[in-house]
Amino acid sequence: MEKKGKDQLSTPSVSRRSVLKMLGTGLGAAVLAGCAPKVVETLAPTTAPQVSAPATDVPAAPAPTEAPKLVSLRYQNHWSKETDAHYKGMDWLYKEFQDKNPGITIENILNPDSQESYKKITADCAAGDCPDIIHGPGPEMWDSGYLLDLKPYIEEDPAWKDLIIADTVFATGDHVWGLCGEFSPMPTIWNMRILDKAGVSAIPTTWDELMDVCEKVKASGKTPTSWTVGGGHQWHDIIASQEGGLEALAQNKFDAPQIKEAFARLKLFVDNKWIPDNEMEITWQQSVALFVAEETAFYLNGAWTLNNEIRSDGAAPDLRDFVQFAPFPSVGPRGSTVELKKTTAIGVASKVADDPAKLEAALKFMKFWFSENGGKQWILLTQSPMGVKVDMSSITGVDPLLMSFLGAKDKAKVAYALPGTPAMMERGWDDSWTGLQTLMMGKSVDDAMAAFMTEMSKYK
Amino acid sequence: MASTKKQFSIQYGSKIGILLFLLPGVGVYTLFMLYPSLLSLYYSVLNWQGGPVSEAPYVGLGNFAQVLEDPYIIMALGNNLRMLVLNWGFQLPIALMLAYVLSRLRRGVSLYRFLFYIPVILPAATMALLWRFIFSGNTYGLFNNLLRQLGLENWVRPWLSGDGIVQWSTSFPGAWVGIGFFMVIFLAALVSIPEEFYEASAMDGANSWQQFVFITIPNIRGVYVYSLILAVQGALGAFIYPLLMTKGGPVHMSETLISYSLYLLWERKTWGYGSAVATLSFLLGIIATALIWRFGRQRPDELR
Repeated sequence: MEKKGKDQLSTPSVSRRSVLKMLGTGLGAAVLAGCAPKVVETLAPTTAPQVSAPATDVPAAPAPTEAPKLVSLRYQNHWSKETDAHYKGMDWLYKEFQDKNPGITIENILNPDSQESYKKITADCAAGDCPDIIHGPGPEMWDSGYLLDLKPYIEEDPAWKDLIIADTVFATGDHVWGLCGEFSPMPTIWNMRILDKAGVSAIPTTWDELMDVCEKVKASGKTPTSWTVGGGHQWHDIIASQEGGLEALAQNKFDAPQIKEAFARLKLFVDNKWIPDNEMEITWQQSVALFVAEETAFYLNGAWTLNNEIRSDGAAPDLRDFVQFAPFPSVGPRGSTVELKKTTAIGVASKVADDPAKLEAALKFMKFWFSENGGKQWILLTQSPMGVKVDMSSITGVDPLLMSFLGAKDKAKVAYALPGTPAMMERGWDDSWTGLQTLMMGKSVDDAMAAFMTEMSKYK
Repeated sequence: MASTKKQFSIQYGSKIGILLFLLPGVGVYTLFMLYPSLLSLYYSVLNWQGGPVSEAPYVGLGNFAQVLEDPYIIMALGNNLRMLVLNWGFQLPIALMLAYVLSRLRRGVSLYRFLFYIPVILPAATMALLWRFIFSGNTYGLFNNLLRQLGLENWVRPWLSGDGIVQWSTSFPGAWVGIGFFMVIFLAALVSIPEEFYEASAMDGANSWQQFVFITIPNIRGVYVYSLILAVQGALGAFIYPLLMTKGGPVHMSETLISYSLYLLWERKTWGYGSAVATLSFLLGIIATALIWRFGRQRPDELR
């Protein structure tokens, strides 16, 4: 038998089995480590440039113990995206607020769009990790206990209370859980170039005139309107123009005759092909793009559409010279209407109240933003009013287009906001869509009402 | 006893080693599949519409009772059934036929296999948008334009919005995409059939069809039954095509159980009820799988 040499005896032998065991152990350990909760993943600063100094870039607090405690407010939203119409406003907000409040930083977390933003915020709150400033909450978030009641803080500051437009706050009962980040009339936006080519000289003010205009526009080869953006608001306008219409919506009387009348009138658009043939398939982006491409004659939208659509890169440079803003034509005894849309509540997380420093910082942020100066800057930079009172005459450099847009509500007989009931807030302004889709499938008004009432049946 | 343990250890390795190797797979499965499923089951017995789940009232089978009264559930089940019909009646037979042809090819098998498998590896979202573009009723809708070019104007339809039409046009892409997947499975089964069977049958005068019916089908029966089960699961779990092509519309006509569950969870925020609908889909899948396995598998006396 061959004796093993000294070298062979001293060389450790590792079997394949033990190598595989070690690999398996290491892999198992890696999987377990990977499953450990991440500490600050969701707090990573965003790519929004020039908007804020992300938390990680903030210089370390000075060593001396008398240095002020740095408070960070986490704010998730989609408005700080460079391509968003609110970007300039957010940029100003963050810079200006942090300059004036060096002890407070805003940790901006960018979400892709409003729907994804809402889902992420909802998921974070459900996980017990609400952002400090909550963008676009709904009444269900108040019911879930995620939102701070701002009313006591508003009441204790009379100057601030006076600035806030009372009808625009988001409230459940006597509790205010959100201030209005976007408060805009929703006038009918007309492309006068299309009307002119169709032989129409004036914007219609009555329903019959509207029918006449639609016929002429269709005959000229264009489509009167697209419903995916604005159809629901047309439906609201028709209801608001009738006596008792808004009350029916507020009381969840979904079988009200005013509602049926609205579906019946809008059915004419389907029957006469005054909306695109594939209306049901197109997204809201495609719908509004039809107006930008000057394929549709009118639509309804808020002031944000001026930046997003009318002055967008895809629009003809002179489109802004050919748009006019008007109330929706009179349908019922109440006359012409303009819906005042309050949207995008801005709230504060209820957990902030547990940290006095953070609560103070959050309130400072809200008061800074929802101030007269904040309102002015918002109008100048985002073309989108908020729910604060602003003396328009004191602002210089306001785009005349925006002034014309906002002035449309003064031309209406009825400027109304949808009832602020919890059910109304929950279902929003697309509550008519099921009924409108039913009409678009060629079904009757009764079928549309049935589909609408089935969809609304969840609201008691 | 000692020798049994030693035998086990020699044959399979140490128990700790086995556990460690199983840990990643079982861990991932438990964390991302089993745990969420059990949570969903728990939520389905609560009336949870937001807020801390610990405060959501227990309603037992109340959500499931609501399912029976929901007209959209019938619509959704109908669409799942349509997908199953397409999967069983179109997808699997076409996949088997393609696999059979490829198994008989002498050249180009790899190329054709790759080509037929491309839809499987492309992202489902991409395929959904592609099919939406094809079926669009707009002026650029490919299919309607093709029909017009061929002079078949009266065949033009609102593929994505017509009642009775949208249900099929949102079910078809899923079946189409799966053809490549099952073709590969069948191909693997077919090439494992000994060639001698075919040679012997050919010597006995069997033609291609007889070979297919009496040799091929019986020998791949187990694989086919397994594919039936996968097809059922695919039909019950389908949601991406209706969701991306039509968002389940119009008026929920193209919803499936899962897409409707997503709507209930994220649009209506009825977390308890939405979980109940997802649980229903899960239970139907189990029942269907059990039935197929019970009646479709080969019994010991059938195995030769």
